[in-house]
Amino acid sequence: MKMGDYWLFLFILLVVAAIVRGDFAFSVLYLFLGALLLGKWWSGKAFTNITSNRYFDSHTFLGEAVPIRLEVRNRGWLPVVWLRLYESLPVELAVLNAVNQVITLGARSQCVLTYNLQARKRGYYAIGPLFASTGDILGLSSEQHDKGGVDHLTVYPKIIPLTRPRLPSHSPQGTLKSNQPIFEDPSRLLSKRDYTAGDSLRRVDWKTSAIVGRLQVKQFEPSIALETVIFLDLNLPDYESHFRIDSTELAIVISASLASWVIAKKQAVGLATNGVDQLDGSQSPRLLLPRKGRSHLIHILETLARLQAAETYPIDDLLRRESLHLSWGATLVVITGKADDILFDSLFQARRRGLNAVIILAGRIVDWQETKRKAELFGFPAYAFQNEQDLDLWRQ
Amino acid sequence: MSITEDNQRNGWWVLAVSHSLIVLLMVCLTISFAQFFGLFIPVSRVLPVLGGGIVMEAILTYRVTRKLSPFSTEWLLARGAEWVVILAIVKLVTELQHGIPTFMSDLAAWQENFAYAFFTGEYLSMLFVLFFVWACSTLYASDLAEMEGSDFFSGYANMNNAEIAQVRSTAALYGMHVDDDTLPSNCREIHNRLLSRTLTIGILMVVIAGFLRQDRITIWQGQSLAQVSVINVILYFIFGIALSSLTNLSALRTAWRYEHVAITLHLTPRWAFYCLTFIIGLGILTFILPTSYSLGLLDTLMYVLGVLRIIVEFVIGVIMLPVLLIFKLLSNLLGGGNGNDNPGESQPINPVETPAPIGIQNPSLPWWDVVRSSLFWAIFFIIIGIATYQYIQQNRVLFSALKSLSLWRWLMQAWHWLKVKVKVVRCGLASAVKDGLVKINAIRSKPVQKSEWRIANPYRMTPRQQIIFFYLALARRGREAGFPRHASQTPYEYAQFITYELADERDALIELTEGFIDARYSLHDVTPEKANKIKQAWARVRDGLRSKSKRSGKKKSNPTGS
Repeated sequence: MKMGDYWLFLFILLVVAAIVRGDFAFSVLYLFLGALLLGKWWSGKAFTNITSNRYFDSHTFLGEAVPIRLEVRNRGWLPVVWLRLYESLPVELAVLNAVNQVITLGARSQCVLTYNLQARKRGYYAIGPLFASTGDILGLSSEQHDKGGVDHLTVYPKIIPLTRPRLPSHSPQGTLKSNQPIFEDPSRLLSKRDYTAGDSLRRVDWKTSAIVGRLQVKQFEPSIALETVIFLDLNLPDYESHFRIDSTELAIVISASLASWVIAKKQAVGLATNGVDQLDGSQSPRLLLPRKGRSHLIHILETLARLQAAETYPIDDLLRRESLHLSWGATLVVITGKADDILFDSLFQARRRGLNAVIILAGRIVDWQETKRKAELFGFPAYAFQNEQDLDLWRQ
Repeated sequence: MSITEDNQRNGWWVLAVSHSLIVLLMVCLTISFAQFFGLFIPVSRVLPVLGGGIVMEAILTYRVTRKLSPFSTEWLLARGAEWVVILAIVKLVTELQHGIPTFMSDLAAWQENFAYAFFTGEYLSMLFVLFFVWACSTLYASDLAEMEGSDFFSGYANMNNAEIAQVRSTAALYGMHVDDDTLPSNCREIHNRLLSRTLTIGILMVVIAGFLRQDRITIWQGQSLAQVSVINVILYFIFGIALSSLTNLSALRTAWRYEHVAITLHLTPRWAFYCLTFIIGLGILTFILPTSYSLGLLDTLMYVLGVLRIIVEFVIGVIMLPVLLIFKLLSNLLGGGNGNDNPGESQPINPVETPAPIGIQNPSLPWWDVVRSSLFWAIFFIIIGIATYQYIQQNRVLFSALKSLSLWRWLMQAWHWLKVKVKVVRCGLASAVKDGLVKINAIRSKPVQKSEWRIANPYRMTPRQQIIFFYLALARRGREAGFPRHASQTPYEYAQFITYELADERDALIELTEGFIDARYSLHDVTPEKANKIKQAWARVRDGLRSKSKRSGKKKSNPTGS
C-alpha cells in the first residue's frame, strides 16, 4: 500500500469530519494519523539509538577457534519492537548464518550474541558489517536499514617447525657455529695450544704461557651471523598455472617457517615480496628490513597473513631493487615458482656484492633438473618443495 | 520445548487473535449496517450477533474448504449447503424473535404465497448485510490463510540448509529448478491488501455514521438520530490497528521463516505488549486532541491575532515602564505635579490599556475552546497540505500538463518575480543589519595587537589540511636533517630520495606521500580516520628523522669513531 493511499483516506476522513462537524470522525482521524506518524517516529527514533560492538582477538593462529561476542545495545528509552541482524562473515572461517536472527530490545537494554569462527585458512578477513533492519509495529511505513562497522581478523600462516635448514652465510662473528675457520670469532674461545711458527703474536695468551712455561696461543670457534632476507615471489605467472593457489600458499608457509626458525636462532630476518597487501591493496614493493626478536617475527607473520598472490612484477625486479639495502654477507632466500635466467643473473649480481643466495622452488615444478643444473653451475643451493611433507628434509 | 515448536505455537497464537479481531471488526460493521437499514425498515436486534456467528462460520468453512479448487463440484456443493443452512438459520432467528405465534402464522402464509411471505424486507436486508459480512470475512480468512503459507512452504521453512541443498540437487537431477522467489507468498502484499480493505470498510462506516448524525435525517424520520452511537466506528479502527499490527507480525514471521532467520522467543509476547501500549497511547492522544471546533476559521484567526496583539502591547508596556517612571519622577521633582498633594501616594501605573481581542464575539469564551479550535485548524491545514503534496507527487503527469498552460506560466513568472524581490529586500536588510553590527562591534572592541606569529594547530584543521600540514612538516624536518626537497622533485621522487636515508620507515613514507597526493589533488572527501593514519605515519617518519639526526650528530662530534 502506498503512502499516498493513507493520505487519501485521511483526506476523505477530514472531509467527512468537516461536513458532519463531528467528534467521532476526528477521533478516527487522529487515531489513524497517530498510528501512521507515531509508528514511523517510534521505529525511526528507536533505530537511531542502536549501537553494536564486536569483541574478539584480532589475531589468531591457524586452526584456532575465535570466539566473537557481538553486543547490540539500545541506548534510548524507546524499545525496538523487532530488529533483524545479519552479520556478514568470510566463508573461509564462518559457519553458515552465524548471526542471522531477529531480536527485540527493550528500553536501554542490550542483547549479546556469541559465535565462533574457525581459523581454517590464513588471511586478513573482514568481520562484518552487521546489517540491521527494523520497521514500525503496524507495517505502514517501509523498513529501515543500516550497516555497522567492519573489524578485521588476521590469521597467521601455518608454521612448520624446522630444525636444520641449510642456509649459507658469510657474515662473520655471529652466534651460529660454523665449520669454516675463516669466520673465527675472538669472543668465542675454543681451546689453547702450543705456539707453532707462523702463529700470530696477537693470539698468544701471555698469562697461560707464564703459568705453563711455554708459549700458548688461543684457538677461537668460528661463528657466523645469519642475516636472512626472504624474497617471496607472489607473482602468479611465475607459478604453474594449474597449481597457483596451492603453490603460492606453500611458498608463504615456507617463508613463515623459515622466518620462525631464523628468529628462534636469535638471528635477523627480513622479508621482501611482490605480493598484494590486503591492508591497502597496493602492489608497491614491500620490504621488512632484517631484525631480530619475536615482535619482528609477528610483524612478518602479519604481513604474510595479509599477502595475496596477483599478477604483479617479476621477482628479479624486486631482487635488484631491494638487495641494495642489505648488508654484506646477508643471505637471500628466494622462494618462487620458477627460476629463469634473469633470476639467476640477478642472484649472480647479488653474490658479486657479497650476498649469499638460496633458491627454493615451491609447488609443482616443470623442469626441476634443468634449474638444479643451472643452480649448481652458478653455485647456489637450490631446493624444491612440492608440498609441506617435502619440508621434512629440513626437519631431520 | 524447541525454538521451532515455540515459534509455531506463537504463530498459531497470532493467527487465533487475528481471526478473533476479524470477528470483532465484522460485528462493528454489522452494527453500522443495522443502524443504517434501521432508518428504512425494522431490523432485527440480533443482527450483530448473527453477524458475529456468520463471520466465525465463514472463517471456519474457508479453512476447511480451501483445498478444494473453486467452482469444482465439491466446492459448489459445500458452498451451496453452507448457504442453505445460513438462510434457514437466519429465517428461523428472525421469526422466533417475533414470537412463536407469529412464526406459526407466517408458516401458514408461506403455503399461500411463499416468495412474498418468505422473503420479507427485513429478511432480505438482513441477508444483504450478512452476505456482505460473510464475503468480507471470507476475504480476510483467505488473506490470513495465504499469509500462513502452504504445507510445502511450511516444510521448506523447517528444513535445515543441508536438506534444502538436497532438495535442490534432487530437483536438478530431474532437470527442475527450485525458484526461491516463488516459494513463500508475498506476505507484505497481503498485509497491504488487508489493510487497504480495512480502511475502505472503515471509510464506509464513517460515511454511514456521518450520514446518520445529520440533523436533516430527523426531519425525514421524525426522531433525532444525533445521539446514534458511534462507538462501534471507533472500536472498528482500534481493532483494525491491532489487526494491522498482528498481520504485520505474521508477514514478517513468514518471511523470516523462509529465510531461515532465527526468531527470538520473546518476540511475540513483547510484540503484543508493545501493540497494546501503542494503542493505549493512541487512545490517550485521541482523547487529548480536539475533536470539534466551536470557533470558525476566521474567528479563530482573529482571536489568535488579538492575543498576539495583547502580547506585543504588553511587551512594549514592560519596556516603556522604566521610561514612564523616570518621566513621572522628573515631573514631580520639577514641581510639575498635577495637583497631587501627597507625592508619596502615587497612583498605580497602568502602562497600556489592554483592549479586548479583535473579533471576539463572546468575551466569556473558555480559553480551552480557543486552544482546541486553534489546534483543530492547525491540524486541518497540515493534513490538507500533506495530502496535496502527496497528490502532486503521485500525479506528476497532470502537473506537467498544467505547466504548459500560459496562465500557469504567467503565474509562475509572477511568483518568481515576487520571490526575487523579497530575496533582494531580505538580503539588503540582512546586510544592513550585519554592517551595523560590525560597526558597533568595531567601536566597542578594543584594538588588540595580534601577534605576528601564529602557531598552527592541526586539531583545528580539517582532515585534508591536517594531511597537508604533516607533509609540509616532513619537508621542513627533512630540510633540517639535511635532505631538502628540491623544487623540481615530485612528492614521489622526494619519497624515493628520502627512502635511501630512512629505509626503515619506507612504508610510512609511502603512506605519507600517497596521503598527501590524495589530500592535495583529489576532490573526494578526506576522512578523519585517514588523517589519523597519516598522522601515525608522520610520527614514525619523524622518529626516524630524529634518530638519524642524533646519529649524524654523534658522528660529527666524534669523527674518529673511537
